Amino acid sequence: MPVIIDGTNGVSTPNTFAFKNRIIDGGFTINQRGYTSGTSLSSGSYGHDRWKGGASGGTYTFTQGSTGVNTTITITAGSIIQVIEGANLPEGGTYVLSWTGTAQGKIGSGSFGASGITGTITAGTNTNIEFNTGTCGNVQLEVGSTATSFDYRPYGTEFDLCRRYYEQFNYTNAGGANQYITSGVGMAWTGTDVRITLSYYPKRASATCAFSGTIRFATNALGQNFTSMTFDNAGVNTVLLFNGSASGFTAGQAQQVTAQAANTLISVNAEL
Amino acid sequence: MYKQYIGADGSLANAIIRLSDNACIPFATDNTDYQTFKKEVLAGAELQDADGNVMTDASAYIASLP
Repeated sequence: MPVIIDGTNGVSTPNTFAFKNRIIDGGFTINQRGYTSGTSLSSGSYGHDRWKGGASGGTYTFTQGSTGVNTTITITAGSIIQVIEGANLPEGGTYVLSWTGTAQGKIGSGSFGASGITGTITAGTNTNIEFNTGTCGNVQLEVGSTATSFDYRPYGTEFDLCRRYYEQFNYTNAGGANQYITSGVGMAWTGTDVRITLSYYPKRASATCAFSGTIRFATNALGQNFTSMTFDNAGVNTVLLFNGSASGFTAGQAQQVTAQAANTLISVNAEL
Repeated sequence: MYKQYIGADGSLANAIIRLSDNACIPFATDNTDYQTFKKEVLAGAELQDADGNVMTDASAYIASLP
């Protein structure tokens, strides 16, 4: 493929360069939710980052490779979908979808076909990419009608791209008693109300947040565990966690906040 | 099922709790969970007020949201 660089048009074959791939986690390397191979995904439930069950759900199997090494999955039932954010499809026009494996894929409302299918996308429009049963790896959507080699992005970059849509704080207490994971510094808003502000990677939209596990607010003199926390004022990069059922705290006092149970988890979700 | 809740300032939060996983969904029009919440309630999903009572005027409440 020719590469033309001139003062008028700049680089005229951009899909030969890095960041040509509009699919995120096309190598199935990021699995923040810990999707287990062979588990049935209901429609809209997520497996690997950015990939969710299709209209009738979906199931796939895989053996995760070393960190950052692409994995080929086998879709055994239903389909899986990735919704590409319109903000990542600014050009519009013809795009080509390619992958390795026997699954068939489609762009938007197009028909399923083998690797190398093309489709027309309206600039700035969220677009579904879907795969039915078969093997699937190295998924790539790029501008134009000619598929090129898979765009391997740095693992950290791929992770950050995923975190625009979903992120979780997993405060697994791997160290046992008294080796708790520090979550941050909070405060006692009143004697019965403890709070902490959580900052996260900037999200696509104000995020849906959920908590599970046990978290502890404590000073040297007083501590209390909480198994539920409420979120308020969730934005694209911060949210307030609070619990108004505390007791015995001193208003204005800073609190050390720690996870207090294995698998204490906060999820921050702005998926499409 | 969904439930209203009291926010940190003591008034109704600009968010809703999804009872299936206790997730807090902000009233943000580009949040897909929020979009789903409105669709499901309009289709008949149960919506509770902050005291746990089933709201009988859920459709009107949804209409008042952004």
